Amino acid sequence: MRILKKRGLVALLLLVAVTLAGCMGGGVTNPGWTVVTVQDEVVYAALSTGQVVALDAAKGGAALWSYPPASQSSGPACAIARRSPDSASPLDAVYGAPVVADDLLLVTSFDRRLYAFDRHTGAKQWDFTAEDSIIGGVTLVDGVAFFGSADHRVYAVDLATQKLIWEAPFATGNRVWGAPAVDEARVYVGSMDHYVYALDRQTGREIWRHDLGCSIPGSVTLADGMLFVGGVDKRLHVLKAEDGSELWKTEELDGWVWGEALVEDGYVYFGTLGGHVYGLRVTDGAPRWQPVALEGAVRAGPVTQGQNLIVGTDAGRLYSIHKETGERDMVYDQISGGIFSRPAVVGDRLFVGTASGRVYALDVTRRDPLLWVYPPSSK
Amino acid sequence: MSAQAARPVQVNPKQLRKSLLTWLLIGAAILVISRVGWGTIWREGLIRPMLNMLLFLYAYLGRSFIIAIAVFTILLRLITLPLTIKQVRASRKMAEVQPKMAELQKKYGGDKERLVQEQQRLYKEAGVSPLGGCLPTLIQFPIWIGLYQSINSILADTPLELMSLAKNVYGGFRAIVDILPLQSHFLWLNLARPDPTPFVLPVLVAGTMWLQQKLMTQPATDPQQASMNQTMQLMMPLMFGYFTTQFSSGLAIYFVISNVIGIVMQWAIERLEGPIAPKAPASSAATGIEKVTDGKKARKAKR
Repeated sequence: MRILKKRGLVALLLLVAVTLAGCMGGGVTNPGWTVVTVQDEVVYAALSTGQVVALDAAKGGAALWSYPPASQSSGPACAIARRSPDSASPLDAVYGAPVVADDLLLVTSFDRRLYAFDRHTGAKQWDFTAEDSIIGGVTLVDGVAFFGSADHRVYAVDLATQKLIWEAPFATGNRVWGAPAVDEARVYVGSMDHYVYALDRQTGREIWRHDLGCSIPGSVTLADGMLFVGGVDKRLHVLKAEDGSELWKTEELDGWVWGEALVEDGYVYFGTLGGHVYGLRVTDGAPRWQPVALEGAVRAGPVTQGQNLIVGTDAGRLYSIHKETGERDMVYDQISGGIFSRPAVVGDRLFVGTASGRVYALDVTRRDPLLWVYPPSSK
Repeated sequence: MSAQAARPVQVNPKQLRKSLLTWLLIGAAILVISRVGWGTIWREGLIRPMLNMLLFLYAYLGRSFIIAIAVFTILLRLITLPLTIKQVRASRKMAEVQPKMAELQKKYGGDKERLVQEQQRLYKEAGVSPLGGCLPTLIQFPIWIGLYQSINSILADTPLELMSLAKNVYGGFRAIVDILPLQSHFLWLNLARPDPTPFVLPVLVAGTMWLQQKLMTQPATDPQQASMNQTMQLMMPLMFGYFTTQFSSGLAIYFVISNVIGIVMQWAIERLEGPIAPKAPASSAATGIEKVTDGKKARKAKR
């Protein structure tokens, strides 16, 4: 009897240990958020479960392929499988949108790798390993993938050779979480070390740096010779791309500016973690309309769909905002899980990834906009 | 059965008031939780104060997260000092009444109901509660989980953790702009991630916890209790050693510092209050009961 009680106590303690480990999340793997991109009626998504999938947009989101195959990506063995770099295991976590490069699909991962998949079959072609996690997505220009890493560096990898085109990656003073902006001659990138850098695209050498006075968690946007950079100081900063001088900055807003800014027709649109969307004139920062309040934090920047901006929030709400008037409409409020990534837009259709690992296809012209959900069991 | 039914029910007014007050407090707590929401209470009552306190300490104490965690741990131990002292005293009182407990077991071993009644009477007379010593440990659990979440948010190894930091930092805490990103490296450790070695911190956590428990656990005369104590003394450090391999090393540093402070406090209390004087029953010499400190000895004593 005593032995039974002792064993019961041991079992209880083990149960508590496992439960607490589960509750606290553990430190080995972590959830990302679902990111999507669309090309030729195929939705490519990296789910927050670590699976990469290709879905047929026209056929109800039917899976064309998945990496790893669905049968290999679940169950208790999954966590063990993740430790083997050569096995077809789910990616640790993905935060940057996938990018299509001819026949390849490029995906960056928290597990330090840039993956290249065959976009028709899902077979892994190659991977490139950085020193630390890769949070931001890839910017692809002329067959070269530019991306930053938490190892403080900026990489430029030639897709044909899978080698660096620079002598060495460019080192900043801290983590680089955003995707770089690239033009004909330069690469622009923000770092958590408070600086925005301009690098020579061919050599990776620094041309200028500008101290923003705060960490830069997101991507920089390049448009009309200007750089639009958000920071944890709750401001949007506008720099001259030529020399990095500051043209203007907003007053302190209601929350951090993390998502990419969208620049169109002389106006810049962006959201804040405080749950507002702003539309400002690019020349002087004059507001186009009053800030639009939304339910939930706006992590990702807005995208354009016709005359509207489309914005998702971490409360799982998807809004459209008229670009001229700032008038707000709810597109869909039945999304399960927060929206942390930019939706993909094809005509009237939107494809939205959620933190719960789902992809929603919506048609903004329909009364009930929902077309399909992937995985299909959860509507 | 009928005799029991005929016995008049005696109500102690003091006990009744205490029970009513307890139920009233439980009801109020349920009402508050249902109105405000458990998530809000957890966030506003625990996560945000802890997270902002750590950020404040980091910002104004040399911008070292190790120093921030160390000072935070000392502050936390100071706040919970009255509870710790209460726990140690309860534990010592329990040890003092152990010989009497053994005598009761011998006397009423065949009558479980009577044994429980007598044990409760003994506890009441001695002014101890068998569960009283658990309170500080129970209070520690939400602190551990809250601290784990706070450390992860502050050191923000992933975007979701940074989102959590953005939401939880107080609006008036303007130094956040200057101090982000926090310096998360200490020696070979990235404090946001588990110890990469991965044995130094797990061994330190398990070792200091074992020593602390060894010092805190008072000898038991009940063989079953002694056996349980022995299991707990081994299992808890092993369990926390395992946690350390899974969770951020910042939390492991908290465990080590907290355990070391616990060991020092235990030593200081022992020095101040002197050795335990067991309340030997009149017939202890006759019964041959001796102090039993572990399961093996307990089993031998029973034989």
